[in-house]
Amino acid sequence: MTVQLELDAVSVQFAGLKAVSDVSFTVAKGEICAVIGPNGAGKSTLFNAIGGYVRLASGRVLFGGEALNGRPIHEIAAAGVRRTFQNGGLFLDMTVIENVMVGLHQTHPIPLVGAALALPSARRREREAIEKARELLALMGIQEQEDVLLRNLSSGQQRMVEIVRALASPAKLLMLDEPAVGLTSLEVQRLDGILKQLARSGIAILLVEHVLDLVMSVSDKVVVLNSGERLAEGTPGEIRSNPAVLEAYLGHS
Amino acid sequence: MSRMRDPKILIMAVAVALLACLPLFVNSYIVYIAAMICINALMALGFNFVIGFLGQLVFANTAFFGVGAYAYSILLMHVGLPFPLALLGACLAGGLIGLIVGLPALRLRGFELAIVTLAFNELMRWIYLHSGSIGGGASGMGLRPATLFGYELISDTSKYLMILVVTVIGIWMVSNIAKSTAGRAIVAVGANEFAASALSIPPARYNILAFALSGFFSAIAGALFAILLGRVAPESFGLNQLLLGFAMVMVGGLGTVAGPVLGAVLLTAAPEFLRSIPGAEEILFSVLLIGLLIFMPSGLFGGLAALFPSLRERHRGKLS
Ligand SMILES: Nc1ncnc2c1ncn2[C@@H]1O[C@H](COP(=O)(O)OP(=O)(O)OP(=O)(O)O)[C@@H](O)[C@H]1O
Ligand SMILES: [Mg+2]
Repeated sequence: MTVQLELDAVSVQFAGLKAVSDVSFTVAKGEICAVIGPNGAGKSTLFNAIGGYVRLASGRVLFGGEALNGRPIHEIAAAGVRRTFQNGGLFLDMTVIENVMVGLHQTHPIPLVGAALALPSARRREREAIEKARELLALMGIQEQEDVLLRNLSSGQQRMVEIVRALASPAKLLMLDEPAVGLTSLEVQRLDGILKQLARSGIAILLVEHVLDLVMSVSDKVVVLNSGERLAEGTPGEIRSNPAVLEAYLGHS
Repeated sequence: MSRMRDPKILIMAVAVALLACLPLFVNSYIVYIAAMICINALMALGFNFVIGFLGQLVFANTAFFGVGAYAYSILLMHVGLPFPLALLGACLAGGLIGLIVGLPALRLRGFELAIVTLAFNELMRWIYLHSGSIGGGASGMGLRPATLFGYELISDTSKYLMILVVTVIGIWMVSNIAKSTAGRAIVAVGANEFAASALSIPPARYNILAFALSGFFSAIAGALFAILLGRVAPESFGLNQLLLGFAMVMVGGLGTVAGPVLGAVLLTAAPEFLRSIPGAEEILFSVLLIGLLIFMPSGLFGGLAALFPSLRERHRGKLS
C-alpha cells in the first residue's frame, strides 16, 4: 500500500492553546481513515493544518512524499487535497450546478478574453464544463436539482453537492468534516456506499465523524484525538474495545 | 437549437434597434440624457464588479471613471491617436489602475478598504487639478470631436449612436464574464475565500482581476463621458459622482448585470423629469435609497428576481 498522506509530529498552536500536538499517522491510497474525538479535540484543526488553512507550530505534512508546509491553500488543493467544511463551505446563493462548476476551475478553465467575447472556443469549453458538471451530479443522483439554489436544498442534499464539488477536479485525498450531520439514515447509507466506492478508486479518505455507525462501517483505520493528542489508533474493532478511548470519548456520548 | 430563436436575444435585438431609432422621435436634449444613461450604466457595471460580484466596500470607482476620461483625452489630444485607439487605450489604462489599486487592497477589508479607496479618488482629483498643461488643471481641457470613418461625431445623435453601440457591447461582455470561469471565481472568492481556495481558486488573483475589470469598464464609461461633453475637468469626478454610482448599483441590485443598468436608467432619467420642481430630485434620491434598503435590500432587480425566479441571472453559459 502506497502512503498518500503522512503526518509527522504535527502541532498547531493557538494563542495559549495547543489545538493539535505531536500528531503522527499515515493514510494510504484507497484507505479510509476516520478521525474521531470529543468536541474541541482538534479534528477540524488537523484538517486545517493539512490543507494549509493554519500554520504548523512544528512537524511536517507529507503528501505523496512532498512537504505541503507553508504552501497556500489553493496550491495544496491543486495538488489533489480536497475537502468539505464542517459548515459554511457552500455558495448558498448559487445553484447546484454553478457550485460544481466553481469546482471545475482547475480542469475546465476558460480564458477571460475568449469568454468576454463569447468566442466559439470559449463557448465550446463552457459546454464541456456544463456536461462534466452534469455527469458528476448524475453520479450522486442529484442531477435533477441542477438549477435549484443551494439554500433551497435539504442539508443532506447540500452535503452531497459539497462532496461532488470537492471531487470535481482530480482528488488524491478527500477530507470530509462531519459529512453525516443532517443526513437521513437513508442518506447515511448512500454516503457509506459512496465513500467505499471512492476508496476503491484509489482516493485516500480522511473522515471526521460523530456518527459512529458510519465510522465503524467504512473505516480501515481509526485515529482517536483527545485534547489535541493522538490517544489511540487501530482498526474499528480495536478502537471499540480500547479502554482509554471508551473513557475519553465513547463514555461521554 | 439556433441562437437566433432564443426569445431573450430577439427581445434584446428589438430593444437595441428601438433605442437606435430614438433620435428620430425625440429632441436632442432627450438624446443627450439617453447617452448619459448609457454612460452611467457602464459606470455602474464597472462599480458592481467590486462592490457586487466581489462584495468588497471599494470606493475607487470615480477614480477609474476619471482615469478613463483623462487617458482618453490625453491620448486623443497630446498623443494624437485616432478615436478608437484612444478609447481602447483609456480602457486599458483603467484596467491597469484597477489592478494597481487592487494590489494593496488585498491586505485591507471593510472600513479600512473603503476609506483608503475613497482617499484614492481624492488623490486622483488632486492630480487632475495639478496636471498643468497635460490635463489642463482646474479648468480641464477641451477635446476635438471623435472621428469615425472620416465622419466627425459632433451632433448629439451621432455621439449617442456611437455611445449606444459601445454600451451594448460593454453590457454583453460583462454578462459573458459573469457566466464564465472568472465570473464564478470572483463571486466564489467574495462569498467565501476559504471555500474558493479549497477548490484550487487563487483568491488574490481574482481579487485583483475584479479590480482590474472594474477599472476597465468604468474607464470606458469615463472616456464616453469625455466624448459626450467634449471636454474633461476635475469637477466631474468628485464625491457626488461616486454617490450617484453607488446609489445606482444599490437601487438596481448588487451583484447582477441587469441591476446596475436598471439603477442607471432610473437615477439618470428621474432627476431630469423632476428638475423643474425644486428639491424633488434630492428627495426622490433619498427616499428611493432608504426605501429600497429597508424593503428590498437586494435592489429592484434583486426583488424582481425573487418574485420571478426565471429572471435570476446565471453564472454559467448555455448548452445550446
Ligand atoms: N482559529 C482558531 N483560533 C483559536 N482557537 C481555535 C481556532 N480554531 C479552533 N480553535 C480551538 O482549537 C480547539 C480545537 O478545535 P477544533 O475545531 O479543531 O475541534 P473539533 O475536534 O473539530 O471539534 P468539533 O467536534 O466540535 O468540531 C478548540 O478548543 C477550539 O476552540
Ligand atoms: Mg470540528
